[in-house]
Amino acid sequence: MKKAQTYRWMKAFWSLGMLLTLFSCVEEVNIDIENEISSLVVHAILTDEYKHQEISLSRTYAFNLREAPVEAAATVKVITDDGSEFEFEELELGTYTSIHAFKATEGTSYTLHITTRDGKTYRSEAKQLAGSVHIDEFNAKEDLNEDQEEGLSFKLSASNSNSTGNYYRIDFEETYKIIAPYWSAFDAIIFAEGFHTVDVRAILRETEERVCYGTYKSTNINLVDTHNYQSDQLIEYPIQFLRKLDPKGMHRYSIEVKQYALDNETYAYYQALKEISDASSTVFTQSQPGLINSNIYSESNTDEIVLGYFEVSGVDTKRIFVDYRDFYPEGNRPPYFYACPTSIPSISGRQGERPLLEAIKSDALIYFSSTLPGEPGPFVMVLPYCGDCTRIGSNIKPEFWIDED
Amino acid sequence: MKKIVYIGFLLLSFAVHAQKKTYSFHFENQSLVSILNSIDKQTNYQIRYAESWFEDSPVSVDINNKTIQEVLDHLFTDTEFNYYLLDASTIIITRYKKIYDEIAEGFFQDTEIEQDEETTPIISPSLVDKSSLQQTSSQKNIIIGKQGGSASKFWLDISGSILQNDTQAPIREAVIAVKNTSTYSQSDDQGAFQLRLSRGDYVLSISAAAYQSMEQPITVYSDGSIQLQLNEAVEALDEVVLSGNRINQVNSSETGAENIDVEESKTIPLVLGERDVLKVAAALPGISSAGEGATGLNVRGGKPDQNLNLLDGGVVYNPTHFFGIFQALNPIAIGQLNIYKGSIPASYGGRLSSVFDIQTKNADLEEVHGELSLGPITFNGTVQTPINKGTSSMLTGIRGVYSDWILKKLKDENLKNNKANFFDVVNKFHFETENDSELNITTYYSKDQFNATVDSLFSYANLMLSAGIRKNLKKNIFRLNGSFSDYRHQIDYTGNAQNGFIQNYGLSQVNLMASLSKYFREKHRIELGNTNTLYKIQPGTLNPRTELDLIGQINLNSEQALEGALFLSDVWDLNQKLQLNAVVRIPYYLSFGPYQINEYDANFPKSKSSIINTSFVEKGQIESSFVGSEVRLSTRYLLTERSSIKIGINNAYQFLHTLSNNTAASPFDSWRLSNRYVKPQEAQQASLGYSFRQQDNNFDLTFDLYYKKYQHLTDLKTGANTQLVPSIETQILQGNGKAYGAEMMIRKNQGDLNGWIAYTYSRSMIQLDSKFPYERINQGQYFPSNFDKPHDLSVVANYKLTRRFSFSSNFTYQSGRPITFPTGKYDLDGVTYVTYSSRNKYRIPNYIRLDLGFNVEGTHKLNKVAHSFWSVSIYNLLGRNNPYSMFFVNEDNRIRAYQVSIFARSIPSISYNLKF
Repeated sequence: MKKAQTYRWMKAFWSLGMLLTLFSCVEEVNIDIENEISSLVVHAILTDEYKHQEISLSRTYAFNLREAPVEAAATVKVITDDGSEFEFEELELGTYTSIHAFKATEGTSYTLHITTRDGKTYRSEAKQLAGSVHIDEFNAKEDLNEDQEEGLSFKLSASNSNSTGNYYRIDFEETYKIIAPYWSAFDAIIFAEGFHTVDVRAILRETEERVCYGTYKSTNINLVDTHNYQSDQLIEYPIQFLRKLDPKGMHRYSIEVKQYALDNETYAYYQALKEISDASSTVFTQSQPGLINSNIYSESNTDEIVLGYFEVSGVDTKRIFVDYRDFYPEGNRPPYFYACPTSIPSISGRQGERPLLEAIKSDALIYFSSTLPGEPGPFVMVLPYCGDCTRIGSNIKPEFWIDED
Repeated sequence: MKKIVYIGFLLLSFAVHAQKKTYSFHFENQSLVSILNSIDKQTNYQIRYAESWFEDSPVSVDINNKTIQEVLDHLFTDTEFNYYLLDASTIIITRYKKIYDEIAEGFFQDTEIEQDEETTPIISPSLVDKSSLQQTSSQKNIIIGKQGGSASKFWLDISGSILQNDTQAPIREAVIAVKNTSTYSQSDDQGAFQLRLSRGDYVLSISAAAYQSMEQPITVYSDGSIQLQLNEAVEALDEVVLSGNRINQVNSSETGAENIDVEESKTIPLVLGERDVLKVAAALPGISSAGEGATGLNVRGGKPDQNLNLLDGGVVYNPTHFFGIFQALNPIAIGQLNIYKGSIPASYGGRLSSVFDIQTKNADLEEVHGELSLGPITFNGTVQTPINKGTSSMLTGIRGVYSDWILKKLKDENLKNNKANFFDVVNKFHFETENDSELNITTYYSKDQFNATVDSLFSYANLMLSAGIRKNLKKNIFRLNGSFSDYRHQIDYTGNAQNGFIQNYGLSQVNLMASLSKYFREKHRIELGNTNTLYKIQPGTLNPRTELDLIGQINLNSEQALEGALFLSDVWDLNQKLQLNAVVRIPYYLSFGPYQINEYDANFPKSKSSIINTSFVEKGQIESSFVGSEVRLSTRYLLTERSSIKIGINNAYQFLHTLSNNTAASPFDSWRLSNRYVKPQEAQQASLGYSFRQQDNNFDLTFDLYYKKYQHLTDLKTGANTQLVPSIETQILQGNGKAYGAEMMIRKNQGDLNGWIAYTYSRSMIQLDSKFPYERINQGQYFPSNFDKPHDLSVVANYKLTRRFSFSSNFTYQSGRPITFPTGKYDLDGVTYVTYSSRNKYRIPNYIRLDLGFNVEGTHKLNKVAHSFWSVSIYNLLGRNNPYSMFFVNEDNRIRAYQVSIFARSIPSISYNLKF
């Protein structure tokens, strides 16, 4: 009897054993976080560029909030080891600009001093200019990306003469001309709406809404350590790839690259920041997250946590412009950012249910053109970002913008 | 044939006066038997004896006109024989025993005999205590020494050996207990043991792991020796043999020592069909693993790099395959694993937490044996061959994976598209002489290779060679061990154009250890020795993969050092209840050139930017040196025959440090050496233990408390590099630590249902403080270390259904280990980043796992050529998603927390084993 039972057991296990399945899984879990005290966040880069240097102060905030609270009405100054003092004024809330233009020079130590509105004082460790940068060349070449798509590759070459190598951080900002494809000089305006009467007219727009400029700033921390390189040189170092079909390149596109020379500690700071903010990684590798030590600390309470970093870095920038037709004289331009279907909503209906009027009121559609008399209408409407470029860019032409080469 | 049956005692008082007749005999080179025959014929005495007692060695006798007593005296002086004139015509020859015809003085006295007196001039005849004889099994009484022999000694020394019945191989760590006394002994590597008893009858109870226990009645007359043979436990395959340290736990003065007999690991449910002694180790109190996918074990809250993994005396730096999912040690070839958490043997050192002393089997000296194991992923074949029957033999084991296709079944995308393979080989040559001297040579190699991403190939390999000589010089034992260990890893990265590289790391060490141990005044076992290890580490080279790759060469300066220790240890039996185990060590460390050393500005944290000068230490010149002192003291006091308390204190130094950016150990950790800036890590431990066993050994219980303090524990700065670091002092922080805990284990050793429950409560804390705020972690306060898992419960239960079918199960519960949570966000230059809680403020969910195994044995037919068994097991029967780690991703301006589980559901597997 006992034996028979065990054989049955065996059979069951046999079939299971044949189905070897082995798997790991990644699943989302809820975490319970206590409210932690908000900390001061400092963003301060002094460079060797002669300009009004800028420092911004904000605070940490909870995950469910949209914007960082700024730290306003603070006193900010930078003091050098030879006794010079550079004072900053708050031109925008939370953004402090040096009253006088200056540049960081080699051999001078700089210390950042902050007094917040509530009287707490903070200071940074003394920092010296880490080095200088010279970008030799920054250009665009036709290339293929990893997915074998056509496009332009923007590459940087920089040669510096630090024999032991150097640490660099590179970021870039793209600016591109946007021309709204369904732009019209007119706007649809509801003049009057009653139970029986409707007065809708097209009137001239007051602002520039056809040509705008979009910007995108790189968010990845791009670090280069030339100590590993044969010389302190970047040769055709890839910065950005613009696909041939990328709407950003539709008309005219500009990219500015900024290369900073960092000292070891600043490099380590960015590396830590990069490491713990990179959405990680394989099952087996995980970096130790934690508070990234700042070089700024509270003088009143040394246990207080301060985020951000005070760096004094050499910098060089280079901007180039490309026109789509420079590289692709033939063929269609890339499609617009969005698909732009037009529609002719009916004006009739009961009050509050007239499709055209509801679309205008809710800003779901904007004016493109008028229909011919006798046709349904009166207006051909289009999605707002197809006819108004300010929805996705700025209508203010940047100072650096050059329309022709 | 005149057979003498049994002569009782108390044949007293009727004195028979023999006639004063004299005889003359002349024998030339005759055997005692024929001499006695002649005497029998030529006199009117009948002589009774057993012919088999006498050897055939010829004797010459020349006797003139002597009485029969004088003749017999002449014949039997200095032999093991006595005689007795029963009456005028009968002479009884006895072996060992002397028949008294009058009561010796003091026989009826109740006065206690003072035990210390070595030469009490009392001759007490032996008396058989009938009641104690009846308790014994059917074993025949063994008589030691000769009655009336060294009569003046009270304490008699009995040396013995315990051998395996069929192979005559010595059995080590057998416990020999003298029933109804508090006298115990334990057999050494050669199966030898010592006992001190007074004259009389005793019953020895002998037990050893994987052997049938036995009881042996003995009668002791004088110093002598005894040889005992144990039978292998017949059911060893399907019944857990938990007796490894059963009595030892009570009797040994070692604190925090664990012994795993590999038979034990056979019955723990398997993972993917593989037996794993390291997984069994993790089920013991005070030892835990970070979970699946972690290479290391944490012993008493220590880092994985604080364990010394030894295979036959040589270091194996990474004893696991495939990120710790499989052990890299051939499970069939392993004989046993001893884990020392406290009283580390004197010859070992250099690690703060523990020693895992793994020993391979000695191959059978008489017959060829083989074992084959086929699991769903791995195969394993091991062969034992005698080379010179009776003296030398060879064990060879090979293990590997079938192919990569199974790993393609892994659901994790990171693993799915990859290949992974590994293998290991082990070979042991064993040679022994008759006086139990031996020579062992072990060779071991293991290699792993896998893709972590499509364009990178990772590999790592262990190589170990060890040779050990052990020579018995009368009462001294001389040991000489040499070993070579090598660990290296490689990353081969193809990458995009221009950034391909090959990165290498390598560590080699040579160790030589010599010691002499001696039994001294019967109460001391003293060992004196010296061990030296020479390290050479190549911390990293980086080379472009092809000529097109832009990456420049890196060739970090090698590091080299000598680590050694002089050691002296003594196991001292102060009295029958108190034993002291004392080790004194003088560890020393020298690191020497060629080495490049930086000088740093003391006003700044050590970093590349605070270097003010770099100097070069020439080859052979000393860069830094260190001499310390280590004491390891442990005492055992027997409260009763079956319970004891143990107190231990010890301290240790560690000169090797791993750089690991992973909270669990990874195979790509770099081991680096101390230098003038990186101080040796230090630990001090105090422990208190209590052991109890039930009379029949069915249950035993151990309870331990410990407290540990650390100095100069190494940890990484935030954002530190761990690969290709020229000067490690720029990347690490050193701080204090403390750990404490209570460990408890109850075992049921016998019966159809057996197993154990182990529970540990422990804490492990670290403090990273610095005068530089930049280097402080958690404001310089103590915080839980990565291995702080307060509750750890393991239950191992086995149930034998029939002789052929048995179940085994294993349940594990562990507190989740500490983790740092994201607590909010902040903006920097238009980008939103996450900010974190103080380090290790929160914990990952608790770890709970139940495994079930089922073993089916082949039939138990006698004389079957091969023995086979099937093992079916289900790992993680509850299918619980146990977190290996957690990570956080910033998606859509929301922080999402994810947990990673390696074995996120139950994994059935089946394996087939064949043994001949």
